[in-house]
Amino acid sequence: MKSVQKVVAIFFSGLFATAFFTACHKHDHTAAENITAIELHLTGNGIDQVFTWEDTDGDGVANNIDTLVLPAMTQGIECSVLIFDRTEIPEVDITPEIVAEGVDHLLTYDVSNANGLVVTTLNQDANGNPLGTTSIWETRNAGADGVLTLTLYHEPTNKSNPSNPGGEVDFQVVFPVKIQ
Amino acid sequence: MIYRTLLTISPRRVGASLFFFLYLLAIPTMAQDCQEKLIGRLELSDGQEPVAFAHVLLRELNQKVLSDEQGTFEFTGVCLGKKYLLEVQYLNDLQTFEVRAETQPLVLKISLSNLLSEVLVAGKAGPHVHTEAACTVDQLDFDSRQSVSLGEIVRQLPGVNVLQTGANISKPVIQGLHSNRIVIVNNNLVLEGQQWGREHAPEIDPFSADKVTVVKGAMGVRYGVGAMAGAIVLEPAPLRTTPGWGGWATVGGFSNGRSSVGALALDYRSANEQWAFRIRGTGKKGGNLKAPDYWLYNTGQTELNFGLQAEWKPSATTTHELSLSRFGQQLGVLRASHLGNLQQIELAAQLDTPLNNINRFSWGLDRPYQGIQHYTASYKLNHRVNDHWKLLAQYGYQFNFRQEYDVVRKTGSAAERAQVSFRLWTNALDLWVEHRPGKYWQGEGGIQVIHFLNYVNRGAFIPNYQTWGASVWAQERWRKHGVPWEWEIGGRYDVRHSHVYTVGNTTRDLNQEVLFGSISGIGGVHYHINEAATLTLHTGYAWRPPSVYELFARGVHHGAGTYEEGDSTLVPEKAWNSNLSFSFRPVPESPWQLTATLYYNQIRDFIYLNPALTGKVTVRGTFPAYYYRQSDALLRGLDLQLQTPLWEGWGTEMRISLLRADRSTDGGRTPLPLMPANRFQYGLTWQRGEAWQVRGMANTVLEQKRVPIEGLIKAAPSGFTTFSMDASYRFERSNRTWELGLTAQNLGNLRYREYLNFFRFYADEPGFNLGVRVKCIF
Repeated sequence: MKSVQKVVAIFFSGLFATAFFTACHKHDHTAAENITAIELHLTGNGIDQVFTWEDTDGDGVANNIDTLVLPAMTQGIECSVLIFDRTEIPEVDITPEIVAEGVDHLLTYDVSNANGLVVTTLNQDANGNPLGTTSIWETRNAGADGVLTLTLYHEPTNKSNPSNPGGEVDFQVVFPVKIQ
Repeated sequence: MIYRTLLTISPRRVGASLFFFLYLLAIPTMAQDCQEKLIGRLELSDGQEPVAFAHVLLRELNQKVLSDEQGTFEFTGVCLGKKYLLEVQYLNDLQTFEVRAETQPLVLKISLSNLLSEVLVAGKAGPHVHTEAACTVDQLDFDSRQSVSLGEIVRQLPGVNVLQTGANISKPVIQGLHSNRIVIVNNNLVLEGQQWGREHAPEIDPFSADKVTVVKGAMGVRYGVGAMAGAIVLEPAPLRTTPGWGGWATVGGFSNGRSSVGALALDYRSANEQWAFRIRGTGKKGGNLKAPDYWLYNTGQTELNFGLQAEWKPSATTTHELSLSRFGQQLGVLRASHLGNLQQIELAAQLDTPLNNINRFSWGLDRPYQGIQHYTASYKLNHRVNDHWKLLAQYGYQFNFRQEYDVVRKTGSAAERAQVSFRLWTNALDLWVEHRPGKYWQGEGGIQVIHFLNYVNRGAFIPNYQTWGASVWAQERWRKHGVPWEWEIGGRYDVRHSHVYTVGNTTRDLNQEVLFGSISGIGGVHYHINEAATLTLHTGYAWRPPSVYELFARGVHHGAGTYEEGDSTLVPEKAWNSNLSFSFRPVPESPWQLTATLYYNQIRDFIYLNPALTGKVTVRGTFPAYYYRQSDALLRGLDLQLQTPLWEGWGTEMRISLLRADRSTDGGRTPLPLMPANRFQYGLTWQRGEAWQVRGMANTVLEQKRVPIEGLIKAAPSGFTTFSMDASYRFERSNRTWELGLTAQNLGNLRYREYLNFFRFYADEPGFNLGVRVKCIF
């Protein structure tokens, strides 16, 4: 009889302890993957500008997308992409993590109008495959406007195929392009 | 002189036990005369209440009679001194007795298990009269799939399907409706979790139950606002009645996924018989499933569950029951299904093999995976006031904790944590009475107060809320011996008040209160055409308030790959659900059995997700956008189950599920999305006594042609036929009962996809699967 009561008591307390312990964790132990700002820093050949795609209220939908207004017939423009989570205070710069896990990331640039802009990825990951957080831009004819789509792939399976590298899309943002 | 016989019983259900004291009454005549009447009376042993409306069958004379309100039954043409086989069918139990006709009065005393005593009110005991269409999952189907999931168990019944996100996540669908339109009741507690989610399977361990019944139709009067289309009712095996220890242990495994399951239950009843308890535990582990051509990477699972059930009966009139349980599960989710934007989904949908799949077996659970914990604690009090009244009270507590772990960067704060988490606390207090106001009436009624508290983390797309609810309900049944008609009527009023708010989730400032209230009702009639056939008509009016996610959701639902937006102006759904059932069974346990149910369910302001013409552009790209809308819907169909004998031991089994579901739109009627296709199950059964049972079934599912065109990324899969086999062998050895079972699914290793499985965009269903199980009842 006594040992049975002991078993029951231990079981009860174990069950309640687990429930109690988990239930009382009021603080947030989750971390959402928020990318809320993507900045394109363009330098070189007379250009020093920052263009931003931003989701200011953190709901995933863009609040502000800068138009990339670029001078025609210019080569050698270096572009550095910075990625931020601005729902955190202070803001978190996610770019170093992406570069550190370069093997697991690929940033692709898709230009709709090749008569206006050509983008070539610059930096590579630790295995010598493209990474793409930095790139070289070359503008061509004025008036050949279009859009530029930046896509960050996570854990791509085939980095040599920029149109379908596999993996998941961490972000895919579209900037309007105006060549003047 | 009284001749007393203690009979050996072979109970059909483990745990139930009947004690019989036998007295014989026969008009004294010559020994060889066969004109006597065998008059008997069924009584409860703890009182002297008669057991009314039980079937008693005398095998040798093939006479079947029904005991009346006094529990009396009578057979004619009996020989004195001769042995007879009497079978008493009461509720769902069948007991066989060998009886010798003597010259003494015949009184069969029945001591009922705790489970059955719930339906009785001392004084005029009688079985629950139900007019709704209820099917109980048969024992072989239940045992073969008990270690898989609740969805797999119930989908064997006609009219019941599952909505799946891979083979591991199955949500039951009753006559086309699911999630917030059906309730799952486990040991009289309504399961409350995040059931709105398509990929949120019910948090139930099938090993906690001994019997699963699916009740179709408007069950709102008994179970409240969530039971518009029906209820799945799980009941545990009754607690041990004889003093001492007992229990059972099951070990099993499945080849597909290399999964193994172990479950143990220990039952105890005290020497003074006043209290009893059961401790049980279940553990399960499985790895990747395999479709015929490739492994489904990251579809493993682990599960660890515990339960305690205790009962204390200090007097004949009062019973206290306590139940505690813990359900813990981790489910891997196929990588391909958590892709992202429309472009990726369309790309993946065109491929024959899943995108991003690693084609090998593994045990580990990688991201993405789900982590679910569900705790319940309930206390129930049962007090018999007098012959006509019984008071009951139940307090139920539930804590549901659900987390989603998505694929994230390895460094950074996200890597060690869940990306989405939901916590829901539910407290429910029920007070009700059961009464027998007159000789022919039996009923119950009560009130309920319920409270919900829901917290979601930052990043989830639904807000926090706190909901209070109150209800009052009553139900009455009329039945008279000799009259072939039975009637049932019931009504309920519910009110639900929610306070919805966001806590710094986004700059979305939501702080709103919503209040909904409505009546609901049921009416039913049961007509006994003869001893073998009955016709039942059940109709009910039920309602459902729009849930918090239907009102206020906003954002990308990553698990579904869609952007969803709620509508805060939605009004409650109102359903008028009727079903007409015909059932035929010549005698209890006859190999001939037919059950057919025709149903007609009209729902006003049916809430559904309507796809928009343009997608929603978010930081992750374009997602198909769905907005909650409401319009009128109509669901109608037929569920049919037929068993026939063939020759010695052999028989056939056939189950048919037909459904046609539409909603009204501007242009007229369009099909409702995600409705089960018509399905036919048919096969052969073989059994030898109580020991051997084998069933081989073919399952033909037709192509679902009734699909709305808009928002369709991939056409519904074509029809298919799969084959399965279940077998079980039961034997006794050294005072223990052993059961060996063998189950085979997808015998032909067919490549096929199901329309209701979200994985159909990416991967085939699992291939051949062989399961074995061993159960020991001690």
